[in-house]
Amino acid sequence: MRQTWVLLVDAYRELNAKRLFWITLILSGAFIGAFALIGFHAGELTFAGYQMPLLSSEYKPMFSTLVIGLWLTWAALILALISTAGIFPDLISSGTIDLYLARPMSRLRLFLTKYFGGLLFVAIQVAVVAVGAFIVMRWRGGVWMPSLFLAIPLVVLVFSYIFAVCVLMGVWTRSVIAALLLSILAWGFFSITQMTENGILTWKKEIEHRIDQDQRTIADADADLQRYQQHPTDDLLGVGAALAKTRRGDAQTQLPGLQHDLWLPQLLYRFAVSAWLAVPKTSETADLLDRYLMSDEEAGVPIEQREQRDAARGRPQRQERDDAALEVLEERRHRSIPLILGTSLLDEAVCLGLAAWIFCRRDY
Amino acid sequence: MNGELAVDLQNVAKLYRKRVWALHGIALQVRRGEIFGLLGPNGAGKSTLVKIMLSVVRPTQAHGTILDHPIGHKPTLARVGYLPENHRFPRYLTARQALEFFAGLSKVDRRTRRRRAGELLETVGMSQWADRRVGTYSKGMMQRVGLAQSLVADPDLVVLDEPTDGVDPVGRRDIRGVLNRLREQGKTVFINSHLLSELEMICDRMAILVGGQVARQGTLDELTAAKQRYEIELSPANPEMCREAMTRALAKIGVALETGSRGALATGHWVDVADHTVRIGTIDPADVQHIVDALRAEGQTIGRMQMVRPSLEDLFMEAVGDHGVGGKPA
Repeated sequence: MRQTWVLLVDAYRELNAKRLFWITLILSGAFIGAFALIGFHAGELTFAGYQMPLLSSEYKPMFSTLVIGLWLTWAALILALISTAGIFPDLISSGTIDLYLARPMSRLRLFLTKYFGGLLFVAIQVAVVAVGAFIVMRWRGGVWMPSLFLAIPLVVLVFSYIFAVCVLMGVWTRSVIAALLLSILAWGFFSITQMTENGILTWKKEIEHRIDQDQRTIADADADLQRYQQHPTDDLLGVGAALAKTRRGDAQTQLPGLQHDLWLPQLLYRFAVSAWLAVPKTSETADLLDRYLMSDEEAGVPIEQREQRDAARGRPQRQERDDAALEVLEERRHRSIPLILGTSLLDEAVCLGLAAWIFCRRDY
Repeated sequence: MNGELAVDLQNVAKLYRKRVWALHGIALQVRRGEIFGLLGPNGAGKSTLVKIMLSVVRPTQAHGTILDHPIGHKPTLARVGYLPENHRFPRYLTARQALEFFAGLSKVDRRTRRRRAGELLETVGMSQWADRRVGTYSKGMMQRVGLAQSLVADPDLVVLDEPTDGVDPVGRRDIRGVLNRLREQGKTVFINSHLLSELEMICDRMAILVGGQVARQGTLDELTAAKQRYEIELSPANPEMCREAMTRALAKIGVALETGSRGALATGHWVDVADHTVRIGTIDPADVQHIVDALRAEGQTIGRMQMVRPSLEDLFMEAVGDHGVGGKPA
């Protein structure tokens, strides 16, 4: 235990000595400070006294998107990765590793402690942001949101997926640059895989939705035609029946084409889901915070609210809502947490296991 | 198990990439309380051997013990101090922090490591710079702090790889002083170095590694015994007659020179003649007195008489011979 503690204290000292750590911390503070300038006036948001074209109900989604989504899970993580990419290549460099391995401590323990020490960078950063955001949300938003502190484990978890890849590359190549570039590439690949799955799911849902619409149109037209047959007085001129037949005809014409078109997204979705299952779910892990920060209604509200706001300002109201996108959003929000975290942690364990195996088996 | 030995290696071998034997059949013993030197040309496998002892490199084959425990026994490393060659401390640490950090990794409790870090920095003459970051140190200062680091857990065995590398003469003398004090305290010191003169001054025993194998092992006296000799140099009035006079003188005391220049005394020691010098394979002055008498009886003048003991460098050069890098044939 003494050795683990000593290594963790050393990890903190190492972070403390890095300028980037302090720069990231200052930028995090600036983000929170900027949010502290946001106020509420007549149902709309103000920034340093100036009215913003945003409704007060968009405060939480904006906070979630900008502070959690953009800063903590992207910008701050990239800075964290830059700062920590060198931990393992430096450790295994000649003249350094000898000092560590010639100790009464197993290589695996050294490896894991160094790994968790690397996660400290993000843990400290997110903890500072969470405390700041918690205070700002109460002060400016008027609500206590203890669920904000979930950002600490979730963002650390997201970073740990990428850091595991970075550690594997660092141990394998012994190069900081290679570790950094390859882990950023892997991160990009994970994000693209998740976006692709999301996009194909939306495409599939869209076609399914249109098929459903056509099937409903046919059923409605059949019901109308049946009603007109039973009650001819409802359609004395026969216009209703003609329109119903036209609607039914159009829908029936479209339906085989749509049903045929569905095979491609269905096939691609099978591959996309397999790929999605195989990669760490960085975005979806970060999005888990939204589930606790915002209700389903708040998460889906922006579209409706924008419509209301646009209508109030004389802009053309949207003709149709993107049902498919909303369905996907809803599906994403209700995806199994054990599935998201379990498969991601499994990936992380595989990466770390491979890195640990190389680290423990290598001659230095 | 042999309690007399701090290090007892038997049949240590290391094969790299299934092709290159870095070490082969190494057998080496280091007694408790002695300073042991390991020498060898570049690539001979010295550092590999040290790293196997310290669990940094995994041996292909290794039998033997370090402080009575099998090689690779991790808990034993708490009793072993190690200074690697070209060691690099984390640059963000001060010397004091570095010492305390590595003492912590060797399971030394906080109070003890603080006390020992201060004492050792004083011992190696670094107390003035103790609270500066090691990133600002010169090579010599790093070596001093490195030496202190190897001692911070109060080890029974200290393994030093090139400890005086980059250290000025004053620093070298200081380091020798520290090592001698360790010997007085009963600690075992294992040094791997290229600086033969340094080793010659402080080592009780040594081994020469050539081509991944132990070529020689023993005390300096044991290693040089075969080459120790007396030389009697004549100052001949007539150099041409000198050779004949030397042959006659040796014949009178019963030495028949074989193949023209080499023979043996009745005591078994060898004798040979070259130019106007007689060389006798002994360092006992009593064995050479009758040869001096015989030479003088032949009218020869003794110009110089001296006992010759080969230096470690002579021994090293002879062991390495005409071999290339690593002691393998060039």
